[in-house]
Amino acid sequence: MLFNSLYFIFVFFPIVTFGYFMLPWKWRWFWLLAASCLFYMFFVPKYILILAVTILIDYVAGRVMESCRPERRRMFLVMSIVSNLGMLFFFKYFNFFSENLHQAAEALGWNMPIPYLSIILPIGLSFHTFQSLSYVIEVYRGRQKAERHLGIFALYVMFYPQLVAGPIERPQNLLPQFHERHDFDYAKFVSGLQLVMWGLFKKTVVADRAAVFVNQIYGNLSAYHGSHYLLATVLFAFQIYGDFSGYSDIARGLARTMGFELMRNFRAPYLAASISEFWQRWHISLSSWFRDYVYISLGGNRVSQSRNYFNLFVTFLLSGLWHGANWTYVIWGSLNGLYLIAQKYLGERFRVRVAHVWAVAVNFVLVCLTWVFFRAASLSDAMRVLSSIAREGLDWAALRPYVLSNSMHLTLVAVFIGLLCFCDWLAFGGGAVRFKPMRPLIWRPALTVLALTAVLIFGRFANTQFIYFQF
Amino acid sequence: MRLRKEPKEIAVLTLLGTASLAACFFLWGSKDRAFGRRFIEDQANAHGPDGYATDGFTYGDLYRYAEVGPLPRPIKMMNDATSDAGINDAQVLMFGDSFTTYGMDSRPLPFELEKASGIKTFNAGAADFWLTDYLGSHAFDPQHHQAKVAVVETVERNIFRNLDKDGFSGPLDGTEPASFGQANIDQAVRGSPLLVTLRSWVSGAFYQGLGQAEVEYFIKRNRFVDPFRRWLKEIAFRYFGDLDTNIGAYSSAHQMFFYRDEVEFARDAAKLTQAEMDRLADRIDMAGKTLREKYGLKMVLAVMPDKYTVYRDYLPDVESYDGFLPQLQAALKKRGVDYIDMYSVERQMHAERPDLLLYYPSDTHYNVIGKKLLIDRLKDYLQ
Repeated sequence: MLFNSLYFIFVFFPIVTFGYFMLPWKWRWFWLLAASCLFYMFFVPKYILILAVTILIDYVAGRVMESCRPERRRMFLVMSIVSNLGMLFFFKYFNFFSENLHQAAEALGWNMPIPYLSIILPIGLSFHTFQSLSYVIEVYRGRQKAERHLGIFALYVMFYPQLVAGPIERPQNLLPQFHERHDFDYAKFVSGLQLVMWGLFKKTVVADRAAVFVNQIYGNLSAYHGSHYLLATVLFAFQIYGDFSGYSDIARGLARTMGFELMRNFRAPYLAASISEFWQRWHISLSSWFRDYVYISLGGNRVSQSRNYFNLFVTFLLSGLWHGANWTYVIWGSLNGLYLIAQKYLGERFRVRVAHVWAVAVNFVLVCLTWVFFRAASLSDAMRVLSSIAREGLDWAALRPYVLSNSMHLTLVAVFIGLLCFCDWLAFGGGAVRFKPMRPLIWRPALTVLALTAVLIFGRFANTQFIYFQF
Repeated sequence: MRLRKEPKEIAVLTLLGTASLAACFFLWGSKDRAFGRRFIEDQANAHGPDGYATDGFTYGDLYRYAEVGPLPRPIKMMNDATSDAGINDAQVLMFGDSFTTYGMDSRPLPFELEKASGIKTFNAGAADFWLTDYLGSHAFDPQHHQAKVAVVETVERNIFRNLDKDGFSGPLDGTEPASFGQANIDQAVRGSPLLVTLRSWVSGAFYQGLGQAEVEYFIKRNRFVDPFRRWLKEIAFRYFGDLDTNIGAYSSAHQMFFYRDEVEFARDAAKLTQAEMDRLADRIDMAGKTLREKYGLKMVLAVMPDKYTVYRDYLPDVESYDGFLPQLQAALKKRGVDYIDMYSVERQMHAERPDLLLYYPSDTHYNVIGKKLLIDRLKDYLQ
């Protein structure tokens, strides 16, 4: 079930939320768990079994690790990690590795049969696997007590607002909230609904409208030119931002209506003035996961400079692979790693002062460059897009007929992207300081009304999947 | 539950409770058809979730997407059930897509053709163009049938999906090709992208799950929500020119909708190479030979131009048409494949009598005049 489907908005959400507040407190965990199971089973029902296995393994691992001798804890940690990542590998990466192995063998002249699994990737597998792993690692490190209540632990992994696309929560934040009593709170409920509304605006008005052009152009590269690719790439930057941050806002808003606080996943990433700042603002729950469990485990920055660069690169390479079993994602992650290394290297040697606005603009261009790999269907497509853009640049004569024949739709998209940027600037940029006194009083209700109107009139409710569901 | 005694909290909870009751109503109305039907606003415009008219009338498949403006004009659906009876007695076997299957303000094409020509015509309906499979698996008797001609009719934008197949006897790559535009061409000509297949699986499972399509249909169409929803669509259209993404173009001067698929097809087809065009013509030629050698049938192809192909001059800033049909017809002529040139007929008619519309403004299909033109040409050919 999608958050932007009528089924969810008009049926699932009111029944689950109202039922939650009407039930006695001791039954609420069960109600939420049952709702989360139903929510997940709307996609591919049988895959609930995969979740059940993950939950059982990690629940047992957590309990055993807490009670066993210190020297045996590592063994259970390894067992849990291997089973979690094994499942992830099987469903997500098996065919990718198999194909590449086959190609490598062919290049060496070996005739190797290629085993191909006809399976669909379970929705949100990467998200709940990482959330579950974070629990096991935290218990191993002694920073989190093992959860005794299997139902509550299952809810931690399956909580429906963040089940399929995060934010990837840490046990310290989410688990205690399931043990707390949440009475109906007017302020939280209204604030949650506002967040949901804002998320729907980002998804149905900004992302899905931009997607029409992006899919048209990226889905048929041969019919377009460099200028079209440039337009589509910039639009994709806002499509993916609206899509994913919209999902995160809806998830946080839904949880908040019931009194739960999920972590913030985005902080106006396109206002970042450097790549490192971008990653502190984009998909925060994932980048902090990789920082805490991969980068720091590799030694972080308390190592030699070259080793530090290596750590950075590996972390982003894995982050790219996490997004998908395709070389385009690997290049996307690697490129981000290289950006960070370059930024660090240059930053240590040169002191260049650039006006903030230029830094933001240059950073946006660099990020857009990586999005080409993220969006393109293959490496050859990505190279075609980049080379055409480099060769042709912005050629208005070539772009004019396309813009004119889609002028109304493109104008609407531009207006909504402008509104999104303005709100980000108000919340996290210069506007946060300048308009601080009047912000809560005027901006929030005004923007909520504006977002609601835009969603009602311009929202696309065509059951379009959230991009990050595929990960 | 511990309730604080604040009126605004009670008010919001009451609203939430009301929304829950409404949710139960939506569930009930979608599951119990007899109950739900009482709350569907406009029976004349009611379609099932699969898009078909429920009471014999439709306002057009494009109107079903758009639902705005002064366009709705009732079209009487006159479908006839097809059966295998008479397949061996017919002199003409007709295979076609929706243009053949649907009767809009008239009976489906094979019935009208038989009436006009007096030649017994068998309607194979939307045989999905697996022609040789169809003839092999139905009551068709290869030794004792009377048929001389197989009419194969398709609309321009579906030509790759329908005709670029191995002897018309099965999909090229084991997958059902996509339905439109470049994806159609990509899949049929260049192979099936894995992502498209995966997406269709995922969305298939999603829609089937717990009858979501029915519930969403009832939520949108019930008499409490529907007027409000249409009002919002009307605002978006009137003041911002905003239309459903399935509408590829709209001519405000002539109040005519064009389907996104046909607009995309016109653009995508312009990029076809000569080799791809030749391949399509070879496939069609091969199918004709198979029908002749295996069943003694002469194949004639009738490609109905897209509405966009005929009426593109109604649109400002339109991207140029590449002349896909003339090119294809030239390639077919070179191979000796018989075809009905509806492209020239319709373009000429449009130029001479622009007042006579050949297609419904709110639908992708031809109207009775368009059908009459086709029947006349087919009749001439058969006689």
